[in-house]
Amino acid sequence: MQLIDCPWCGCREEIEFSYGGQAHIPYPDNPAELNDTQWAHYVFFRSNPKGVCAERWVHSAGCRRWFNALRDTCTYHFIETYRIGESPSFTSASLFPVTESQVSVPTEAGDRKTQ
Amino acid sequence: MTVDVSTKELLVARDGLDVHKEKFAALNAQVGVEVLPLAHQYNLRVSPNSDSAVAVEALLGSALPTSPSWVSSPAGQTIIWLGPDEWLIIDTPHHTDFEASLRDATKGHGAVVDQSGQRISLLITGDAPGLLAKGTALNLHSTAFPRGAALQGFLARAVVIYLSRSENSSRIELVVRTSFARYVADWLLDAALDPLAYPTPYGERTCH
Amino acid sequence: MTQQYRTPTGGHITRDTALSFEFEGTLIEGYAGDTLASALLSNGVHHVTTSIKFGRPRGIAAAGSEDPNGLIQITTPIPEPMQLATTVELAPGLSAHGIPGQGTLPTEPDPARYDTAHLHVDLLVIGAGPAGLNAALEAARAGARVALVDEQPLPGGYLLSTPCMIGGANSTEWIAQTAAELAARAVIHLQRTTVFGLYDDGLALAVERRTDHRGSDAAPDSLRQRIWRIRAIRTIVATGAHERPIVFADNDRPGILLAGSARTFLNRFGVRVGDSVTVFTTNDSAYSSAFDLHDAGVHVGAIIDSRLVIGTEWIEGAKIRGIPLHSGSVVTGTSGDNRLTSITLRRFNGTSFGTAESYEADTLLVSGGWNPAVHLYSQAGGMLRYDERLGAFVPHREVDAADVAASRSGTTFVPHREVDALRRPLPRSHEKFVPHTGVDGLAIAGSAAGKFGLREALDSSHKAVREALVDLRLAHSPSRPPEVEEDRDHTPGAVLWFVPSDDPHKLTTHFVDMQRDATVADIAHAISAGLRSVEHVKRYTTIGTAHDQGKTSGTVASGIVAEISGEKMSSLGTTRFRPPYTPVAFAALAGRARGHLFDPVRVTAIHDWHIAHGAEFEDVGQWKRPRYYPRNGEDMHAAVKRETIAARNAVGILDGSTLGKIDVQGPDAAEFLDRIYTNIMSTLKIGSIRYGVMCGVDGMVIDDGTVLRTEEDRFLVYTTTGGAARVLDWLEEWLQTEWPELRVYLSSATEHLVTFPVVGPRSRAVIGELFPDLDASNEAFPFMTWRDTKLANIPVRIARVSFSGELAYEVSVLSWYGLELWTRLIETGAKHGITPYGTEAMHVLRAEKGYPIVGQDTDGTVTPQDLGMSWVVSKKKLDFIGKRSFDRAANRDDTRRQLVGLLPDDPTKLIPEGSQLVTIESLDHATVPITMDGFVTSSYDSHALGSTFALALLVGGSTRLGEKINAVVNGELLPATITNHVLFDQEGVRRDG
Repeated sequence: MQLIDCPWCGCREEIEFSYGGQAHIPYPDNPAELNDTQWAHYVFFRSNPKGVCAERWVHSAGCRRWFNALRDTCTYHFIETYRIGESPSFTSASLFPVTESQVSVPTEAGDRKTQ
Repeated sequence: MTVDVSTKELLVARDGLDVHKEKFAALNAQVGVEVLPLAHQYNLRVSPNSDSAVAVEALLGSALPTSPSWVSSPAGQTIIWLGPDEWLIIDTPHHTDFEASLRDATKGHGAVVDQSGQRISLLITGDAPGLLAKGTALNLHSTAFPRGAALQGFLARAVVIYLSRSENSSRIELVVRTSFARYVADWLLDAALDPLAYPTPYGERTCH
Repeated sequence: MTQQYRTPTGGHITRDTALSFEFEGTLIEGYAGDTLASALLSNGVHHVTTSIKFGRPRGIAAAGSEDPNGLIQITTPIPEPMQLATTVELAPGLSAHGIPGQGTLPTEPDPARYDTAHLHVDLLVIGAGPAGLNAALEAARAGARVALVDEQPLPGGYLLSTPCMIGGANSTEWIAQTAAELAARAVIHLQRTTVFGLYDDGLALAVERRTDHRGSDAAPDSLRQRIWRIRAIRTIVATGAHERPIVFADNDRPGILLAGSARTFLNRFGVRVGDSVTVFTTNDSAYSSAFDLHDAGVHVGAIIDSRLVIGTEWIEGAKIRGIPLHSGSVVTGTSGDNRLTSITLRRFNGTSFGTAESYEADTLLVSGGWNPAVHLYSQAGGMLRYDERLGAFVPHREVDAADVAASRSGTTFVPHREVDALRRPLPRSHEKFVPHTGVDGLAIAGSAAGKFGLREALDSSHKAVREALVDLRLAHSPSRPPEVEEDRDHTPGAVLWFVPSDDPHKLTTHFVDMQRDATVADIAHAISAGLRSVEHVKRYTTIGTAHDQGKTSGTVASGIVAEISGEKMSSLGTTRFRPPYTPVAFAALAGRARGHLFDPVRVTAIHDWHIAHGAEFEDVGQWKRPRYYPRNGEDMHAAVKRETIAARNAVGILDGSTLGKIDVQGPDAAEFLDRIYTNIMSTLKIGSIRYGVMCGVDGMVIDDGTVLRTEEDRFLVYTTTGGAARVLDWLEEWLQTEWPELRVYLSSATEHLVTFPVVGPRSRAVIGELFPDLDASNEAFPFMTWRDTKLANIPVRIARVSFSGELAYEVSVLSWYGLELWTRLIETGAKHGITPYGTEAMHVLRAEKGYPIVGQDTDGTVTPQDLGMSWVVSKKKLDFIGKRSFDRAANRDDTRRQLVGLLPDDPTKLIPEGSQLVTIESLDHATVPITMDGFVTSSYDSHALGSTFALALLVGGSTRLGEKINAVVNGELLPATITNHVLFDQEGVRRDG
């Protein structure tokens, strides 16, 4: 039972949280302009890196806030959590996988504009 | 029971915990459990530091807490931090038109929702941390959970709000969703059968 | 029996408390403080059971939880299978018998109680041997909040087996003094408590055995076991070491046991393990056992040491005692049936054997060295390395100050952050990413760290605890570990995994894992089959998979794999240790989460009324909902028929309070709902209601319900009962992560209101009568609108929505008044025949109308169009969640499964839900695989239709109306006609009364 550092409530047991999938996959500005392949990448394609990946979590049993986390898929270890719209302090680009679905290192601009 | 529908007598408010109240009264060990009276309560959503928040604070006569904690307003209301822009206000004693005043104060830039029927409070006294340590990984010892702290989390498998009502953790209020209230009450009765023979020291392990 | 093997004095047993127990039907006597094993041995009983595969006799082979052999089943006082004679404490009323690898679960209910407790400490010390006691004491003196946990009944660990002088006192006194000071310093000191798992971020799980040692004196319903969930900032693992056996031919006979265990039986329990003992060792430690036994009057016939170089001290010790010493020799075989009678020894230089000599012996003590008990450390993610000198796996990071300092600047250790800061929510900045080892905050000390000498064990414990205190920012004055004698076991042990054989075929009685009857031959077979990884060999041979999880066999198996395959031990590694360290009963893990506390039971404000009126309940998520209300012995079919007739012909009432309710408020509330729902909500007028469907981005239905516009900037959204929490999280996710610019706030109001649909042609009369201020006429209060009124001055909201096709009014009030409202509705409706109905009748009514239940008629692959609800999908809105997916080719495919109705040809036959639908006419000559055209999602018997009927998802269903289809039911075909999914009142004339 890991402790997860809720950006609002502090460290709590992971059972209080729910997983929300890969983070920083913004909803496309104009879905109608995407072709089926591009849309399918948004809906279905997620990276599966060995190492650091960005994830979305929600503190379901606590403050109900969604936030982002960097986690190491080899150890499950949470490297860092950060609020929506914030960037992680850990930004080693080499450890971020960039896939077809265009996961990218979040920037100051927040979730929507990170593509 | 039957009700004469021809009369316009007041409806009786019920919490559905009468049987549990009797059992709680029969507890004579190190802990006491009391079902607090049904209370009007409101969910407040407003951006912190906004004009609306300032107006709400003026109405309450108290600042809105900004961390997992509760404060008491001069009028005796309990204002509980639930999230960065969310509070629960337990309006005890009940103030007529409080909801409307609160809504006016938010000036349309927030939300006020009557949740009076949503939750009910149980007050645990005595070795409250020892009893609750059987059902929560939260550290409720007084040093980690001083008076004024308010934590949301699990008690067994129900989500509750823990309010520290005293300096020494001997009064902890559980604010419980009403549909879970009987489960929580049953759990408390069962857990109280096996008091912990050990003090529950504090010390807080955090992530990593 | 007479305890003829008991020493006259000594041991940590209570000699004035004799306890009788029954073993294999024989009444035997032991003392309080005995284990079942020590009591048996005190009566000369070694043979406990037979082995699982070969039925070979097996005895006590060790003194603790590492014993691979002595499995027993307890029959009284608390029946329990798969226990070890070495860990069961002798207690009043105990009876037991040996079991060959498998026991029998008791069939009677367990009356005992089980508990869970959480603990938060600065320092958790696991193991109350000398290293653990010293660490706990040092930390407590510095003011740390300490928990000390140990699996034995008594603290002391190694010192119980090895009396010595420590800290200027004899060890028994030192243990007592230390324990007393720990108590005075409020250390939580738990004996009979096994830490069975170490997990992330300093979490330890331990099981405390509270009553078994009291046997039948404990009340059957007493609190038997407690699971401790201990969250510690720092943890010191001081779990000691397990002695390692040597594998040789016929090494499994009763009477063959580990040398250190014999010493434990002698010094802790006052039991001599035999009359004529031979010792077979590769290292110094067994000499102490031999000498102690000799000094206690046991005939020690020989010490057989595989080494040629042996310390003078040991040679002299043997000479003084007149014990023949055979250096450079090994045991090559044994004889005996239910007990060892003789052994064969030969000189052995590593490749060739000398001539065989036989010795009579009833007991053979074996020592192949020691394995640090690194289980917990490894569980937590600690890396192990192979130590050539010890022939054992040891923690990769040894605890010593220099190592810790080095690792702190290296790359394998996450710096422990400032403790003061850790007590608060963490700062959001991290200097750099360091690969996580999973063991930060964790130290390992004493013989668990490979420090087998008492002095070096105490030194390592002292270093570990002082390191922890630095991290805890606790001031502490200089101190030194307790004084003890110089460690004596100096000469490195030889590493000998197994004694080879002239004849390779003989390796079939070289037992590696005695519990699994797995031999060196099995390992050789695995390797010849091409397996190289220890993990694979373990699974192939089952070595290490029994109750003991390979405590004695794991490392030996790795060594044998290395030797046979020619791999290096260091590159081969060992298998990963996994929880639990020792078996834990499911009942203990469940704690009080059983029976009515197994899972929360959520109830509505009028639950007691349902009970009082005989409701049969069904679980809907965590809710208990009345399924039907049988009267006068009705079965479900009869009750549901009566209830549906009432709703269709008169008036029924349902407790619909479990539906999720979300208050959506804010200037952008309408815009938000337009983005969420497939249809338009912003055009909804205040006072009106609209049905809506929510889809995922993939266009699949995830929830549905009605939406009331209560104010210009405020809506009340109803969700399904099971979807309430999930939908709220989903809506919050969009608001918080994608659309933070929208000024919208969501609050749950599920339990705030009770909601009672009053349903049927006579509902208007009931509502009109109870709420005289309300004009309930169709003109004043049309379908899909809501009105506020009052009951005895309490606000009541009434909504004209229908989940049955009938005229209906859903009445809501603050849940405090739920019972009052319900009762008054029932009483007012009495003369109209108002009938409470449950979820089963609700399902019949809704299914007759073709209304789907999300999660029953949908499964995450169903679009609104598939449900025949294209009308709920807006063509005008530019975008909403799911819209783009509706244009994907896969979602425009005509052969998608679509919702249809089914009418069985035989109107008395109910097609079970889940039945597959096929077009073939006969199953007899069908070519397999048979094409499945769809499946039944809902199926009921309908009074209104005069027939059973079903809803189904059918390939291309909407174009197949009127066609025939067959349902496969119990291997037979049940023919049915495909119909529109709306089977009743297709014109919708009934909803206005």
